This record gives sequence, C-alpha cells and structure tokens, in this order.
Amino acid sequence: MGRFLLKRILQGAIVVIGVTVVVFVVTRLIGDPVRVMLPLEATPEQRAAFAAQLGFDRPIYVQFFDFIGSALRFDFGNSLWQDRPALEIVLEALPRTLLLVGASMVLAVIIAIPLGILTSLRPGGFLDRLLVTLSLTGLSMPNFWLGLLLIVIFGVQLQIFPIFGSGTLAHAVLPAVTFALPSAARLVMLTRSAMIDELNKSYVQLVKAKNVPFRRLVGAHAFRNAAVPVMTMTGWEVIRALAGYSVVVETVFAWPGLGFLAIQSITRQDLILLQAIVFVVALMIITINILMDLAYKYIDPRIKLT
Amino acid sequence: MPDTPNGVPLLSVDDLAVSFFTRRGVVQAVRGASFSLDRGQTLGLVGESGSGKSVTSRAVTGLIDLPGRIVGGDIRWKGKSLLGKEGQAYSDRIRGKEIAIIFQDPMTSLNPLMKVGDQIGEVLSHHLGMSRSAAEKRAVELLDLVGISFPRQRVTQYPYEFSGGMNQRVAIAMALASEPELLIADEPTTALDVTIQAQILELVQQLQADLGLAVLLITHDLGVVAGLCQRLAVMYAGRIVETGKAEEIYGDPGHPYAWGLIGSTPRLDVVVPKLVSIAGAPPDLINPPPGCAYAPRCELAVEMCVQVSPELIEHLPNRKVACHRAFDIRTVGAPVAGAG
Amino acid sequence: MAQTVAAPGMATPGISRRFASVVGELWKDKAGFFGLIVMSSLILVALAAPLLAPHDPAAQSLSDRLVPPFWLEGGSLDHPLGTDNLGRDVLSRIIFGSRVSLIVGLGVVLIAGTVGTVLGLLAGYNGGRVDTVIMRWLDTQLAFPGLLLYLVILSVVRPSLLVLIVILPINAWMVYALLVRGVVLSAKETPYVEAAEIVGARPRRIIFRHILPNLAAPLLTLAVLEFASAILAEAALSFLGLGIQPPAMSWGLDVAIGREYVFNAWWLVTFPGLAIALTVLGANLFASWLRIVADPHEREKRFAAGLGSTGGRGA
Repeated sequence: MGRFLLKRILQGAIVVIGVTVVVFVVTRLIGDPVRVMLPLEATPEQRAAFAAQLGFDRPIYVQFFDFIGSALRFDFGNSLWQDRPALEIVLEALPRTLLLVGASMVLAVIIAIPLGILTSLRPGGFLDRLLVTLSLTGLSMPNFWLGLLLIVIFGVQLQIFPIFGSGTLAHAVLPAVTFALPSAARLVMLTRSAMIDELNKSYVQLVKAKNVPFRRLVGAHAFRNAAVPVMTMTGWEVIRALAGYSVVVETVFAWPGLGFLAIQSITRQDLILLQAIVFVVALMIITINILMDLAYKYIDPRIKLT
Repeated sequence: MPDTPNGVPLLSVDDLAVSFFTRRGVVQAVRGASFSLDRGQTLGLVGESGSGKSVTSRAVTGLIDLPGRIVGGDIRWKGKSLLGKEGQAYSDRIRGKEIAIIFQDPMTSLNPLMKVGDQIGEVLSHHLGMSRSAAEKRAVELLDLVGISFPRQRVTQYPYEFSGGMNQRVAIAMALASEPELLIADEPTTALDVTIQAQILELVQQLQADLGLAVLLITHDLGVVAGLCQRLAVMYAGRIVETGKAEEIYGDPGHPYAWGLIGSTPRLDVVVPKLVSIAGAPPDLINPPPGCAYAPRCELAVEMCVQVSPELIEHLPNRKVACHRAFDIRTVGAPVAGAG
Repeated sequence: MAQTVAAPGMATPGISRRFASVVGELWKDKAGFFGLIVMSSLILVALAAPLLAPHDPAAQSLSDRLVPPFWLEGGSLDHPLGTDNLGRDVLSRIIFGSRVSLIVGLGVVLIAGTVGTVLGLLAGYNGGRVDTVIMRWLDTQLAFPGLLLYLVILSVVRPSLLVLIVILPINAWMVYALLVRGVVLSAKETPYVEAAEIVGARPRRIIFRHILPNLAAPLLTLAVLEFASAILAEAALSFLGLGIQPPAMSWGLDVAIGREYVFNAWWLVTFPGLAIALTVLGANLFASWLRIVADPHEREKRFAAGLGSTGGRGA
C-alpha cells in the first residue's frame, strides 16, 4: 500500500511537472506574455519595465527553471489583476467549486444508479426505451444552454430560484442541477449497460438457480460487480466537471469558483493567475485518480495495487 | 417433507418443448422431451452439443429467459407441475431448495466479488432460515464435506483464490447447502483437467450415495456417465431418442444414434464406451425435418423414417426407443461394427 | 413482428438484400432514422445556407430589434424565430451557423481520427517499446485538465475557426488510439491474422487486409460520437468568447449574445442552443444505431428485447 501510494504520487508529480512545462511553453514561447498582459497602447519603456519586473528579460532557460521551481513551491507570484498572491485567490475559489461539483455529483449518482439498474432489468421494455431516450437527450444538451434554459424557466418565468451569484444555498440549486443532469444521463447509460453485461453472466444464472431474493441477485451480486465501471465513470465525471464544465457552468451563473476565475483571468489578461488555477486543478485530478485506485481495491479484491 | 406417493416419480418431464425466438427464426431447441427420475436415482442425459440437453436442465431449474420460452409440455416435481401460473408459487418453493444445479465452468459460475462462504451462506439463510453465525459455521462444514482442506480459512476467500476443481467443489457445496433432493450437474467436468474430472465425479458419486440424492447428469461425454449413472436418456435434436438402464443401452443400443454414439461391440459384460464421430451434422432446428431428425445420418434409414417422426415407445421392459428400426442394429449393425 | 421473423430469405442475405435489410432496419428503428435525418439535414443546410436563409444573417436593422418569434405577439413570419439585439434574423443566423459546426466537427474528426488511428495501430500492432511509449504518453495526458489547457492556449493565441480545428484534436485523438489499439490487440489473436503472419504476409498488408476491416464499424461509430463532441466543444468555447469571433457566426456565440437578454428575449438563447442539442442528439442516436447494426450480438439482444415488450413471458 505504501509503495503503491509512493509510486502514484511520483507519477502524479510527473504529470504536474508536465502540465507546468506545457503551460510554460505555451505562454512564454508560443505567446508573448508581455504583449498579452499589457494594454495595446503601452509604450516600449513600459513594456521593458514590466518584463524586467516579472523577469521576462532573463534567458529562457533561467526563466524555465525558475518557473518550475517556484511552481513546485506553490509560489506563482502575485496576480496582476488583484495584486495579491495568485495561490491565495485560487484557494479562496476552490471550496466553492468543490461544493458545487460535490453536490451535483451526489445528485447525479442518486438519480442515475437506481434508474440505470431499473432499465437494465427489462432492456427494450417501455421504461427502458423512455429512459434511454431521455438520457440521450440529456447528454446531448450543451451545459451552458441547459443552464440558461433553467435560468429562463426557474429564474425568470417561475422566479423560484435566484439566478446569479453564490450568497445562499438556493443559489447553488440551478448550477448544481446544470452540472448534474448531463452527468446523470451518462451514468444512467453506463449503469444500464454494465448491469446488462453482468446479468447475462454465468454466475448470475447460478444465483438465479439458487433462488435467493431478487433484491439480492440485483444488489449484492450483479450491481456489486457493475459498480467497478460505474465508479470509474463517476470519477471521470468529477474530473470533467472540475477541469471542464466548471468553467462553462460557473460562467453562466457567475458562481465565483475556479472555472469562473479562469475565464476572468483570461479576460483580465492575468496569465499568472491562470497558471495557478491550472496547477491546482491538475493536483486535484491526480488526487482523484489516486482515490479512485484505492476505491477499486476496496470494491474488487482481485486488484493488486502495484 | 411428506414422502413421494407411490408410483409418482420425483421429477417427470413430459413432452417438454422449448423454443428460442431469434432473428433467423424460431429455434426449436427442445421438441417434446420426456423422461422421469426417481428418488435417489442417477440419470445421465447424453447428447451432442446443441441436442437440447442443457436447455432441458435449465427449464427444470426455471432458467429459461427470453428469447427462450417453454412452449409446451410439463415439468412435474413430486407429481405437481412447476409451470404455469399455479406452478409459479410451487416452483418458487422448490427451485434452489429441493432442486439445485451446478454449471460447466466453475471459474465463471461463482460471483468473483463475493467470499465463497457468503455465497454458500446466502443459500443457508434464505432457504433454511439460518442465522448469520449458524450459516457461517455450516458453510465451513459443507466445504469440509466436499473435500476442501482448511475450510475455516477458505470460507473467507474469493473464487479467484481457488483452482478450477476447487471452485467446482465450492459450487457443489453451495448446491448441497439447501439439502436438495435433486442435484442437476450440467457438464460439471467439461472445463476441468482430466485428473480433476475423475475427482469431481467421484465426489458426486460419493455424495449421491451418502445423502441419497437424485442426480441428473448432463454431459456429452459417455465416459463421464459410464461409472456414475444407473439410467441413461439419449437426446438428439431436441428429442429423447432412447431411455433405459445404462448398462443395457451400452450393451445393446436400440437407437442407431445411441449405437453410433457408443460405438462399441454389443456385449453386456464389458462396457467400453468411446466417442466415435458420426458422419453428417445435426439438423437445423429452425426447420426440423418432418420425419426422424437422425434419418439423414442414419445408415438404417428407410423411406418411412424421412416421412414419419417415430414415437418414444417401450420396446423392452423399461427400455424406450424412438425409432422405426429400433434394435435392427442387432442384425445389421454387427457386421459393420465387426468390419470397423 | 411474427411475420418478419418468418420472412423467407432472411437466413441467406445477399449483398443487395443485406443493404435493403439495413435500410429496412433503419426505418424500423425510428430513433436511428431520426439521427440519420438530422445528420443529413445538417449537411444540406450548411451547403445550401444562402438559398435557405430568408435574410442576410449579418444584416442589422435597428427598427427590428428583439422581435419575438412569429407565434408571439409582435412577431411576424418575416422573422419566424425573431431577431436579436441588432435586428438580425435568428433563423438565418442558425442556418449559417450550421457551417461552422459542420466544418469544426468534420475537421476535428479527420485530424484526431487520423492521428489517433495511426498511433493506435502502431501501439497495438508493434507492441513492445512503441506501445509502452504511446500508452505512457496517453496515460499522462489523460490526467491533464483538458479544457483548461485549451484556455491556456487560447489566452495567448487569437482564437479562430482554424485554431479550433487545430487545438481540439490535442485531446480528441486519445479515444481513437485507445479504441484502435484494443481492436488490433484482439484481432491479432484471431486465427486469420496469425495465419497471415505465419505465411509471411508483410505487416502493412496484414494491417490493411485483415485488421482495418474489423475497425471500420467501431471507428465509424466513434467518429460520429466524436463529431458531436467537437461540435459541443466548439459551442462551449465560442460561448465563452474563446472560439469563433464576431462577425463570424456560430451557434455557441449566438447563445452568448442571447445571454445578455435572457430576461426579455428568451428566444435568443433558446433556438441556437436547440440547434446544437438537436445536432448532437441526432449524432448520438445515429451512432447508437450504428453500433447495434455492426454488432450481431447486439442485434440479437434487440430482437429478444422486442419480444419482451410485445409478447408475454415464458410459462
């Protein structure tokens, strides 16, 4: 176990360094950070002073090692937009995103798993076809559009929920639902197909022949086995929500989390803040991956952690 | 449990018909199979793959799911039907309790994520109403009974920690847990090594004797049946073509197919079963021929065989054969066998 | 349904019969048929946009700002789906916006599909060190925050249609590589490929003659699904202002414009978004139909399921 953790943490470190290198290459080599961060009307003197202040006038390899070194010390420098440590800003926004993503994933799992199991019991039946069609529709909706539709329906027409911001719990309802619905749709489809696979296996036939209660056949036997792919998919949904959809959904609802911060850092031309966000999100993804591996071991005793 | 009334067999299958509704058409996997089994008896159901023997055993255990469906006939347990609306509740009491089954591949027929002790224990707690701790204790005894050493440690292990033969022993222990009266063994040794096969068969035989079990052994391998079964039912293309005492059929097969399957010299004292290949292939069960399904491959076939399907008739005491030329092998077959 | 089961000739399908039966099945599977209709309409609309659009999609008209759809009070058939904040015709913009979706979808599928297929073939067929390197790379990249990397790139490169088509495959190639590698690995185990190797057929020949045909159906299905993902990704980036830039037209961009007016002009976000959702749904339905048709096992299950929903149960 200890060896496994050490190995995975090392692998994670490689990924983090990889992300850092890519960010460095993209921002410093492909793009010109000074041009990006300063307004167009800045004078050459201002540009030079700015470059010197942030160290962009040094040789590129010095910049590179400096960049990697400070990234690994979680020191990204001060945000240009807010003039305080970028990491501080990121860590303020992080819990708000985690709250939203966590709540929505719990919601998605609670909706999706019972429905997925239910449809798998009579594949091709009326309920199955209805839910599969609904799921396909759900996962075809762009997140941002779904969010706006919810705003139009529940915020503007019915005026049930507040639309923008993050003051109260009610503020979280619409963004959480926006996150949850497409994820739930994908999870329903996956749970369904994983369950159908399991129910066709030989051991389920034998459990049927043993004539134990149907609940046990479905729960303790088939779903227990289907849980492995379902869990993998749930982990991926969390990652996709954190590293992708959060940008879109939080922007729609002006929810002050990491995603919204990322968009703001781009519009404010604050590369330093953006780097800090990418770094922290990469760390989150690695942590989730390791947690998922540990959970596998818990579910499936055959898996050896190496 | 009240004893079976006199003359009523433990299990009787009457004119059973099972069809599979596929895109290509309706596959008539079982087309009128009849046989019966008494308490404590061992019946071998023998036939090529695709002959309908496994489907028959699944029908008895209530495992026919769509696209398959029981389309005719009856299955009776102690005289009462297990089928239909009325049979539903009865069969729910019987299946998994009085009738237990083991499958071909022990590596895939156990739940990979559940401790073997729990897989045995759920039978005990559901069918015998045992408490958790009693079930745990009994599971250890059962593993011991089927010859697994260190049963106390083994109950907490998972199927992947066992070998194929060991898993089959676990499956047998699981089947015995409900104290059944009939054990159906569906090709129990096909997936195992030859040496392990013998051990498993020996175990089944010993348990059968000790516990007074009735055993329905489904196999394509006559070698498996030889030592184990008192009675034999030979199945071909969804029908039973011959039933009778095992040694009688070995010694003096009445049906040309049984004769071909056994491929042995007709002597009563020495039983030398071996598998011989019979020229040709079984018929397409989507459009089964109107006459005897074996006619196209049969050396003795005459015009009537192609036209009229033969009934399963008692030709000798306790010997039923479905063939227009039953026992003609005795005269025609001998020189062929002698020449071969 | 019983009649189709017994239909003569189904057991021995010829090429033309097979084609007819595939089309017949598509017609029977209403969802798959709908998917095909949506996909073909997208192509038709994109090609014939100037002929179909009632107005110039860029033409502004300050007197016709925020006109609602025709069935609402104040709407007219002149602008069936209403107009936006600058008086531009919403329907015409949706019709022209289909072009960006189609181009991005096709472009990304082509690039990512080619790169992914080639790398998957290399990894699966050669095995050994090539496989290790490609799979390590893939594992590492899978842990990258995909969309955030797009954001980093788009923060320093001015976004455009071409940039989107170039950067979206950076993440999209991986699924193809995984799929192709898996199929190649299992195809390598089949007797005919082993036989071809023993006979001494050249690797390239084995790949083209024996392995690629196995790949056709799953790759096509994946391509249709990925076409949908590319359209979604383009729409999301354009919505964020990091994709297609005005005055060019894109459904995602139009939703972003409409967002400012959700309180008084709901149709501005609704219709372009509906176009995206419909297109993606069509692709998804078509892909799931493709998957079923390509897999005999799956077809059989479908058939059996049909029995379950129409007929009684076993005795």
